[in-house]
Amino acid sequence: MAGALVNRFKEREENCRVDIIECFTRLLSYTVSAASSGVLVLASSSTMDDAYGAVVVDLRSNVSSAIVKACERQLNAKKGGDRSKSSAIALLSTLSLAPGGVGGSDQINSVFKELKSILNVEDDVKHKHVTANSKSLKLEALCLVRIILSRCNPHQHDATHVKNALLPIMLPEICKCVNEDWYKVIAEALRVLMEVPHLMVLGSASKSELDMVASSLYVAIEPRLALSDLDQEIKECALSASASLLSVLHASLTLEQKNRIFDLLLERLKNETTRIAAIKALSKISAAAKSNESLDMSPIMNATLSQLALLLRQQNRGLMQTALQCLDTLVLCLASESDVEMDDGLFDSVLKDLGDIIADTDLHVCHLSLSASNSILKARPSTGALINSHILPAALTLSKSPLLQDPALSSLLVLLEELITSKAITFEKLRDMMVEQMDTSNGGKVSKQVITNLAVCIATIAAVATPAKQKSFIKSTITAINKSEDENARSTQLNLLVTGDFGRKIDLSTMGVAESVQKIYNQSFDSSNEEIKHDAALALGRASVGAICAFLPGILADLEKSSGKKQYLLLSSLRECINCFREKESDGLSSSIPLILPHLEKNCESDEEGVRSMVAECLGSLACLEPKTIMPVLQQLVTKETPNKALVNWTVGSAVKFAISGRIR
Amino acid sequence: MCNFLSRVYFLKTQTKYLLIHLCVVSPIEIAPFMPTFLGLLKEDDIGVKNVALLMVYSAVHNTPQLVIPHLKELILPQMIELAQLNMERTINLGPFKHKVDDALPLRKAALTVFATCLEKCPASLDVSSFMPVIAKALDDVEDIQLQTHQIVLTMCSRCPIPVVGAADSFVAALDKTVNKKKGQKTGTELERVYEWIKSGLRVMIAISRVDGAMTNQQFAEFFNRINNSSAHQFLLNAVDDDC
Repeated sequence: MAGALVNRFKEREENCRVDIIECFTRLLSYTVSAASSGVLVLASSSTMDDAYGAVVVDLRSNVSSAIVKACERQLNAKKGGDRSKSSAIALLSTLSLAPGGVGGSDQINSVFKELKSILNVEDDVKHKHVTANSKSLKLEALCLVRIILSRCNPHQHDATHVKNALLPIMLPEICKCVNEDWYKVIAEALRVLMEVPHLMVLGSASKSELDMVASSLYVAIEPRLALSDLDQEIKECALSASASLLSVLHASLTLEQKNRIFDLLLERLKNETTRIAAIKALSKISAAAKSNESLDMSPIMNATLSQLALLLRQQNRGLMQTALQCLDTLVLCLASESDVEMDDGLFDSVLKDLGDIIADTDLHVCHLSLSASNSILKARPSTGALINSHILPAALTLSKSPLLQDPALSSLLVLLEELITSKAITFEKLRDMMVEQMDTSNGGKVSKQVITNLAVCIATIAAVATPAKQKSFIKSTITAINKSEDENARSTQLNLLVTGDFGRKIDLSTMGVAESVQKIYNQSFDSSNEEIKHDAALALGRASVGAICAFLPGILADLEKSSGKKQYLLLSSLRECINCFREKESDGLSSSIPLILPHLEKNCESDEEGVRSMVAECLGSLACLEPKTIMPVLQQLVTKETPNKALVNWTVGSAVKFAISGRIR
Repeated sequence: MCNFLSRVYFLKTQTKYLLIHLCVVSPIEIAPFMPTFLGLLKEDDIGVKNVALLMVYSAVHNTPQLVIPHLKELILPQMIELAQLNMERTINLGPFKHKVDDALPLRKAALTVFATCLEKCPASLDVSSFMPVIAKALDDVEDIQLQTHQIVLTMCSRCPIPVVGAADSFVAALDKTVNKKKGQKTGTELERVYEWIKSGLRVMIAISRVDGAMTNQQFAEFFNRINNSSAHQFLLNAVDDDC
């Protein structure tokens, strides 16, 4: 079928030819998309895998070279109309998306040659009669080049081949296109140039090649970046092209050239229409500078930081987010203290702006702001005092927000940790501040979420304190729980969770408190308060993560002798423990599985539905951790004959359900 | 208004971060065991059947490739059976008699699984073999009827051919639904009856728009009769407004 279509490419009538090429393009694109979507299904069945493999081989060896040849014939035909040329380009674009791409170096070379003639020929013709068609053809040719360049990976094009073909043939033409007069062609040409630096690195170009490319790119891009009365699209493309030039090929640019680009970037940052694109460009460059000593951002550091801080006061959420992300990466480029001369009061104002936007009305912005503050503190430990005065109050208010969760919570934790390790604040002081957050809201009830969050915060800062402080901290917490009375159930809950979260990070058995902690948990299981019971179960599960050998035998022994409610609580501890291991994706639990399994199997046929569903969750979670061990066990449970067949089956069914969905209630 | 919009946006961005990413079992690990677990669908105990259906649902929803190979032989026959299971029993409460249908959750779950299959893997589903079940479900209790109406609406847009073939078997049940008596009901109860009838009318209209449905004499007669009935005009207009 495909071969027949390719043969008909030489059809005389143009309309007919265009239709045939388009039809073939359609066929090819369906094949490509079927292959990529098929991969998902194919993972499980081997027979179809073979069939799929055959298609690929076919495409690589015969069809692609045939297509390229046929397309070339279309492209260089003197009398060939623009329409068939354009559809040939579309076909090649589709082909370059396929596995295997356009083909080896020969094909790439010849395709580039044809495209060059398109870009070139019309340059001469332009003065005589500029048709809309020839312009759009040029645009399409540039698009094709961009697609080929961006698809340099082991499955498709070989970067070295593309590079070798690109340098002599295409690059001068593309650079020339930047000086065209149709804005779309200019923008597309700039986009192609944006791909070039990355390709150079992939294709392991030599130093002289790099220098050559860098200077020609600079010459092409600089004027477009400098002019201000241009189309928006051109400006944005010029910004991203210069970002990619600077971040990859900075070693080949002269200092003067670099400073010129930096100045222009700064100018664009100040302009309202281009600032977002400029921020993105700066983020890209600073991400590169972070990992590379030789790219120095210092000339514009001060000005950029203050400019970004200004943008934080804007109402525009998107702008705020990009500015924050840029700030975050940019600050990390700051090397040692003495390296760059920083303006006095710069961090003062930046941090003040950062602190102002921390509120639970927008947690994502919160997360970015906290993480930027953390980066500042990391890069400049001397800013600790400023963080304490500008960021900490807002962070504490945030810590008692019932909405606080995931990314915002984790960046808050990282910041608190950094505050302790950089000695900006002492552990005791920060802990007291955190505990106070519970008391201030005495009027209303503190929600469960808040207690959980505060407990994690306190446990996190305790985990980075000195061992001596940790010891006295955990002892005082245990005493507090022991002494607690019914009226301050909330603080008991907090303390219980603190011990659990702390035990998750630090092995409690090495501090000699594992036994007393386990005793408290067991006592709390008998508490009259349901929430305390529940939190004690969670804490026991989490503490076991840090010291599995110390806690697990106790849990299992208790499981053996208890029944009903207590069994349920112990199983939920076990579930929490397993889930913590799942969050970490660690296999620290594998050696304990043989110990756990008999107990779970036994409780599969418990009369109480609550116990059974907890067992099912444990089994489901374990199956996610160790499918090879657990799945056969589940199968065996289903097939084994027992008096309570229905109960066992119920449990296994739910366990499989949990394992498949991976969700936790 | 602006405030409201920002609030909506805020909620949207918040929920995005609610999903905790935890590892799940890779389908390759479970696949060899699936036939055994799917055998649970055949167990006698209703609770087990229900859990098994939930399991199938979660598989279809999360990793359809796990169930697709077994859909035809192991799952669909059971689903067809379970979706028609009726276990009504009467509880004697002295002066009152109360009817309980233990199989109701099963029927609901089976229909949900079918609806999810229709969404996730329609190509592997033998839709026409399920048509008698749909016809029966259209005559079931209220919430199953409403659920089935949704399924038929989906089928009308996604796989209309079996619907056309089975249109005449739907007529009796739909006729009953759209001619529900409102009795002495007022207020919200009346509203509910109207919504029920409207849901039936929507299905009727959707089927009538499918190519070839009107060549089915029985359905065409039903459609024309309802369309011209004065009692249905105000509800038909309301349905039209919704569309």
